[in-house]
Amino acid sequence: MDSHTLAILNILLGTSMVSALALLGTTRLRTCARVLAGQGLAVGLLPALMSDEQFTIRIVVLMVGNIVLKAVVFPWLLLRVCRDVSVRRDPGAFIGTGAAVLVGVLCLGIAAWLGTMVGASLPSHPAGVYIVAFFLILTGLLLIIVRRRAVMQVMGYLTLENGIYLFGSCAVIGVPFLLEFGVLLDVFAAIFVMGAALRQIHAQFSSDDATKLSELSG
Amino acid sequence: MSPLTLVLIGIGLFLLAGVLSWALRNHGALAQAAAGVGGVAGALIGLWGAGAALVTRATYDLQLPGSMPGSTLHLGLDSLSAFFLLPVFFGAGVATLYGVSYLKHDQAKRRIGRTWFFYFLLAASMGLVTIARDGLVFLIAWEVMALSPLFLVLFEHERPDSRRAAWIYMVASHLGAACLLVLFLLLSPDQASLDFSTYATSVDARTVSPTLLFALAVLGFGSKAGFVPLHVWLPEAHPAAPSHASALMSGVMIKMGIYGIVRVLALLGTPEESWGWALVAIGASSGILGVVFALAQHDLKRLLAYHSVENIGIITLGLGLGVVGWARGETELMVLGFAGGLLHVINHSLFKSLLFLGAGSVLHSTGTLELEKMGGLSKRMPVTAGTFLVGAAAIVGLPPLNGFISEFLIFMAGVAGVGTQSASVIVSAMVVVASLGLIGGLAGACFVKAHGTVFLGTARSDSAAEAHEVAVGMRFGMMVFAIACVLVGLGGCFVVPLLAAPLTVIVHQDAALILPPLLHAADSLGVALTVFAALFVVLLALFGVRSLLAKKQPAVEVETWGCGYPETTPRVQYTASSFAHPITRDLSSVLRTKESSVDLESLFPKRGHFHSHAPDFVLDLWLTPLFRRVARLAERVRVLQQGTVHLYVLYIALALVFMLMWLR
Repeated sequence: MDSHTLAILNILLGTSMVSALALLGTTRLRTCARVLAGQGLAVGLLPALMSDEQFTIRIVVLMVGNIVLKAVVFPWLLLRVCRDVSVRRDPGAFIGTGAAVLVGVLCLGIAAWLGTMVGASLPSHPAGVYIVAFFLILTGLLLIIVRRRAVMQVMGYLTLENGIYLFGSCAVIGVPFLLEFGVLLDVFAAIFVMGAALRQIHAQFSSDDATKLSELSG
Repeated sequence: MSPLTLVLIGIGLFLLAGVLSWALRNHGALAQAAAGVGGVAGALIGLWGAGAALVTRATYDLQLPGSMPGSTLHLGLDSLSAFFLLPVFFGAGVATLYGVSYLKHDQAKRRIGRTWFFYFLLAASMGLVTIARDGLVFLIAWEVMALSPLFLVLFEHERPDSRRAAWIYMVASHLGAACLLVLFLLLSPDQASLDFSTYATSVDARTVSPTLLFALAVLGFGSKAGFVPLHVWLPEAHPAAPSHASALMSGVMIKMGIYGIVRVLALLGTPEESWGWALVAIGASSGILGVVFALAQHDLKRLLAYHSVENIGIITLGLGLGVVGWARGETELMVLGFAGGLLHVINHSLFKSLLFLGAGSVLHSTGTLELEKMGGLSKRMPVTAGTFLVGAAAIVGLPPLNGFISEFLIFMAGVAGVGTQSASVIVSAMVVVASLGLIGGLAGACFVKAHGTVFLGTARSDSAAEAHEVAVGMRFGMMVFAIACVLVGLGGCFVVPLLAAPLTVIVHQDAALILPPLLHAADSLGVALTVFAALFVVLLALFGVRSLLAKKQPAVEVETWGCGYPETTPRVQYTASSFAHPITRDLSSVLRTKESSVDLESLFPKRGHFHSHAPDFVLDLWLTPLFRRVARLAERVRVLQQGTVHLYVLYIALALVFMLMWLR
């Protein structure tokens, strides 16, 4: 791996990491959707830099499809949902954004530990890759936990998926794209279901506050 | 074509018949035809395959293309599998013939499509269980086999007791399946591959104690086989299913539990002697308690279900002696014990299916299974009465029927055990002989009660008085089973040596070592059967003379002499309860029968009544309080369930981080 590729790789990794922290610290939903688009682009490009294999048409098509979905289609859908349900901000459910970023930094610590530990027994890549992958997974879960709006939780799932995608495409030698594509499609379907459900919930209760959804249980 | 291919075609035909009859559920007659043709064709082809594998004594292997994680889709057919496939295909085939006729009056209802679908799914999955050679394939087939009867039990789902039976069945069978999951994971040396071939070769490499594995197998497979105290689902589930399905469940499905134990014994290699003692103890308690509970029942199918528990006990007694013999190197004890247990598997599948079909015929024509409402049916249903009598005599172990030869083998194993030098072997052999004797006697009393109250005497209710013989298809099904009982019994000395093939698979020893005790037993059986056949001929001759003499005198029908009391009614007959009362009264400490009565007093008594009910004490006194306590404990964990998504995701996140840290 030459120094240029390494530099680009580090920039992309840094972008993914900062975008995740930005998601934790941002309350405006439309901004979040745009940040997520950037993250999708960065994560989508990363495997291309690390792959030792020839770029067959199949791999290129799968990768481009992935980037289009994550960087264009999903953010666009999310922006539309934001407009439809006319929700602008998500101030957080249990802790504020400042505290969320702090917990995020804590997650970065855990991710660094997990990444170096797990990465040791996996195909060697620049150590940062596994750390960022775990960081995205943990941040995704954290977003789901600390945010109130269902739209924001969908973004948490997407961040989680970005982490899984990054981890999978590094950890498995060969052609993991097809497998990852399957995971992606699952999330895609889940988002559609959630989107549809969200609209219904909003129409029924004139709120999509996930902390209030507990009344539906049981 | 290889026998394994034939068996697979048989299983495939079962599945096809099931799917077709479900697809045609709106056209009752067509669905029935699909079930009948597919079931019989599948059974014949499968029997051919299993028979061929038994005769050639070869092992057939098949690795299917494709894979699941950790699994190889490995199937195989050896003599042991082929042996257990015989009752699967024979039982399913004949019960199908009966069922087509049995369900005819339900033909217009859509539920028969569903019933046939799950019936064939059950039959096919039992076939798959016996030929699976991979833990995952086995568990999937096992789970399908455990779930499909649930829908058969729910045949009349509008009845609350059917739903209760289904619930009990489901809990029992899933507790068992949980043990099996652990068992198959622990059997594998490295948890990477679940293929049976890796299980067998890893005896020395295994870190887990074999006794733990054996205990898991007994718990997991025992809940399916119906060992006391895991038997509680049998008396609930069997009566609720349609009769041909209960025949398949009671006759064949519970034997899959025995197959599992035998297969695990074969995989584990030379056993510990204590396993044999455990099996003997389980067999004795299941056998004795099963028949004692059966004596106290008033419902014909419940009674038969308890007899299944009893017969599983007899099979386990045989297996227990076999294991003791294997562990001590006593070849005769080992061979005769295993041979008796295995042969009783086949025999029980024949006569228990026959008896359940008989009970189905009685239900079909009287509309009840309540023993106290029957009576005198032998005049109106001669074929049902005759075949039921054959089944009853066989289950009690009367010569020259099939039940006799397998119990005879176990008795011989017991005698061989008593003849050894070791005290522990002598004790377990004596336990076996004594409990077999007790079981036989009590079973005899129970079937005199069952056959007597149902078929003899006079009708105790209008429905019994208006009963009629069942349709040809049903009669045919019962007659096939009855003839099979007689043939296996009369041909006992030819059947016994055939058991050498499955035995070599279990104990991994040469057939030359196994055959001599079997041939010796076959010789003794030959003598016994000749004597009994001679007695039987004399009896027949006497009967002939009697009917010749009776022909000369005109038959006169008169009332039974009632001590001068002219107003006799059917109610002065012995009832099922009163017949069994002398025995059940002595056993009341075990049975805990609840009785309520208004006795007759003074010269002009008012109307009296007597009611007795024998609940299953294992269920009522042990399991129900246990589950209630577990539920109360579980109630405390409910704090964790708050209904907020955030909290659940937090649990997931914590679990993820914890697992990653722990599994590094």
